[in-house]
Amino acid sequence: MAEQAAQETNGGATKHPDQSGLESFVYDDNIVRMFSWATVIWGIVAFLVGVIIAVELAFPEAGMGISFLSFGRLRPLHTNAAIFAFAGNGIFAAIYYSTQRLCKARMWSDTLSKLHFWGWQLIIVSAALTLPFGITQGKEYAELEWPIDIAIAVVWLVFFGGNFLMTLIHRRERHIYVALWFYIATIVTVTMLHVFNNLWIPAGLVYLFQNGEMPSAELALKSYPVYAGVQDALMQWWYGHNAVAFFLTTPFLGLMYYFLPKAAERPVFSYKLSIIHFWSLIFIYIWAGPHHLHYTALPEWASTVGMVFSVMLWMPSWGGMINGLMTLRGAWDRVASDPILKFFVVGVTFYGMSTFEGPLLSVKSVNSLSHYTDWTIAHVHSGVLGWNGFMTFGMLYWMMPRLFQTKLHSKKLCAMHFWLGTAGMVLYILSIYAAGITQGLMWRAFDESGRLTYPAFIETVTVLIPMYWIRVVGGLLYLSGAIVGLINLFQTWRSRPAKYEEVVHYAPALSKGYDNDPKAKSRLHANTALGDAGDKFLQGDWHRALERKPVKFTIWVLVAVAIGGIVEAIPMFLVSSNVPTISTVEPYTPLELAGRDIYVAEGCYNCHSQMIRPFLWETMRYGEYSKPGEFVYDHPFQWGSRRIGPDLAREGGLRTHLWHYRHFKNPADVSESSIMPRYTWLLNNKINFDEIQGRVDSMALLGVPYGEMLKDNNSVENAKEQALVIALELEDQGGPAAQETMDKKVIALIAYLQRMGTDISKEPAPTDDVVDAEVSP
Amino acid sequence: MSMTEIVSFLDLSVFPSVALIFFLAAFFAILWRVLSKPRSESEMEANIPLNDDVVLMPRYTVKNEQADDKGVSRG
Ligand code: HEC
Repeated sequence: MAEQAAQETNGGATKHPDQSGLESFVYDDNIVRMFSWATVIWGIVAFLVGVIIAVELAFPEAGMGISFLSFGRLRPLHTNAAIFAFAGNGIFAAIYYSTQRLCKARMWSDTLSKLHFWGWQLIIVSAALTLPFGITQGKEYAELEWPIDIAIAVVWLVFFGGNFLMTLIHRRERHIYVALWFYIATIVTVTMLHVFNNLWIPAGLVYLFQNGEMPSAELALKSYPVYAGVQDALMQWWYGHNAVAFFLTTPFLGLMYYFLPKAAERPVFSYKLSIIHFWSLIFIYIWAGPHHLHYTALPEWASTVGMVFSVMLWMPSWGGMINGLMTLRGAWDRVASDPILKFFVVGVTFYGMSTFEGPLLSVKSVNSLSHYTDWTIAHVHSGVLGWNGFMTFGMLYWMMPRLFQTKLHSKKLCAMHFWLGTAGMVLYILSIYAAGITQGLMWRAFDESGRLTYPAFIETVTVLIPMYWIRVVGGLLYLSGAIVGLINLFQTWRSRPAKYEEVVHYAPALSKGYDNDPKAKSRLHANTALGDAGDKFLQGDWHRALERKPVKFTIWVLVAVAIGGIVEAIPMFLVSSNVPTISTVEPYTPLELAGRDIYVAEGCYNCHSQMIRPFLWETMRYGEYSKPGEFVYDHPFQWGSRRIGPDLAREGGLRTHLWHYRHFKNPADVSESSIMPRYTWLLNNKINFDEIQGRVDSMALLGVPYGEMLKDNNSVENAKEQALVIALELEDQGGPAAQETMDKKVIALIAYLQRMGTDISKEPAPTDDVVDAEVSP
Repeated sequence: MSMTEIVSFLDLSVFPSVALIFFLAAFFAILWRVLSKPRSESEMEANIPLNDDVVLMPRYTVKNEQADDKGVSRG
């Protein structure tokens, strides 16, 4: 019985005029339509940028020496677009559609819904306007600078979280369906992760407060994390890993538990299993982060916790996959003919595959081979393209025709999208697996005489080029699938009715008198209150109550996820022995600090690690392995996660200034067939000396002992002097005249590179401390 | 005694075990609850997504005649 919405209801609940106790309401589908379009469009952008940077690795000239097209700057744009723009808008579409229906209520506030939508799109646009220009915090998947961080917190927690929770509170369905639990966990945990990983000091604002002026827009947007080195690394990967868990997994599981039953037209295989899936998943996931840092300067116990919990994750993940696939029991014949179900089946299967592979990669011995190679890249793409991508497309194909109140334009095109996407993924993933394992094995190969078989790093890169081209083809196929999808959905939209019908729904408000599902009564009639309470507890009353109380439920989810974070983080931050200090490690000079900031801005960490693991094949290639104490002044840490180029932790003193200078001008000039981009703009752009004092002051605020440098603009003078020294040395080595180079960015970057990893081999200054240390055992 | 000293004093190798015990306790409590949940209850809950576009029959307090012209069928 469909009627036009009475204007006066305006979506809000109205008491039905006849004293029936029924309330009428209309779902807000407009907001779902908006998020759905945003998903498709940003998805195409994210895939396109992915294809561009894939081409750049196979054919570096494609970057054309243009700064904002260079790999280091575009790769963060690609990852952020895929995660936060494509998957992000996808989960919002899923959540707005399903929450209203599962709660039998319109979203609590249309205004908040709209603020959420436009706020989120604005964040995405600001990401696209900052990342390619080197405005970044330099921590993977958390690159966006501080003003955008604040916007994310507000939009996510206040506009989205607030609206969601209020809708839940005003729902008309007593039981909170399991998909909503996954959404709650998403909102709570992402807030926690985002806030703790983004505690920073805005350098420009600090300078403004201290000196009453702002030297440059660059400094205004610059911030430094409060954590340094090992602690920053732990925090970052606690975040990074759980962003996968709570941004790319839990909301998609909620999506699966709602849309898969809808598309299959049957309830989920086992509701009981879904409850176990939920609690064990959220509880275990949060502990697993340190597996990103095996064999690094992270303490042993932390990485063991990470490994054990990662392996435990197998259990709930596969429980969830089986639950998803078994939901199709008795409907398998339809999978053959229905492309929407195909998307879901392949999506859920990829969930199973990537959650099998994840724990595998977290086992230390496997990790020693896979880490820093393309294996990880293959792993994340099976997750994002297979699981997130296909679940999203499956949902959109099911939902958008319903939102447009028409039929899907073409089932054939939908099937075509499915096959293009599947073929693209298979090509991408297989070639990149091969690339990862090949390179990993080459790095560790020794010949009969005990020397590295491939001592030149570039040899381990050039063999990968054919596989990189296959990846390009795979990416193009996946992208064209998405474009076919866009066309199909656009045509579907064109056949919508002139005016959408607004269906009015009726449901009684939740009342206290509701007794369909009574509270447990004690069966004991014990003579103590405790005995009776105990029996009710055993009957599961505590959890049944939770399933109906959104606020309490949210608090318990927070407790479950916070335990893991706290138990891992507190010792990390408080145990002094975790980061033994090394007396010769000193703060960077002001010029080196400026150079380090260029390193961060250019995104060199996307291709270079700064973390030598304690393996023979690494120490032979790169030198002494990295120690935790070496990073105490590194805000942010720059250990990296992928070696497209060699590790740089001990780069200092390895090459001449001239070598670096020529290398930045055109890497292939000094290293034949290098795939590193040209950095010609660093040779021309000037260092802004005015902002150096601001950088140093902020570091000092974070506890870096800069002493005299803080007085009377000493940093600036010091930086200029050091720049001149390096420029003269460069000239001596046969480089351009010092006059020409002494104020260029490349000089600051060379200063930083020449300092890297050298402190540890310096002679300690003969102070009392050292004498003490020698005397005591 | 500062917090740093207290925490430094702890034997960190117990952390993985403590974590495991936390997890197991919570896991078995939830397992108990789930296994003792009546079948009818979980079936009803599992069907929520499939009923959500239906214009609901009022569950109580409504006389039948009224339910007839409001209830049933889709939207
Ligand atoms: C697309 C990936 C990529 C990016 C981005 C990149 N590099 Fe490289 N880098 C490489 C590769 C590959 C090599 C090895 C071949 C060569 O020497 O050029 C390399 C080599 C180097 C070397 C030489 C190491 C040695 O001693 O053999 C240095 C130094 C270096 N890169 C610094 C940087 C800096 C600084 C940045 C940022 C401004 C940067 N790289 C950005 C890929 C990259």
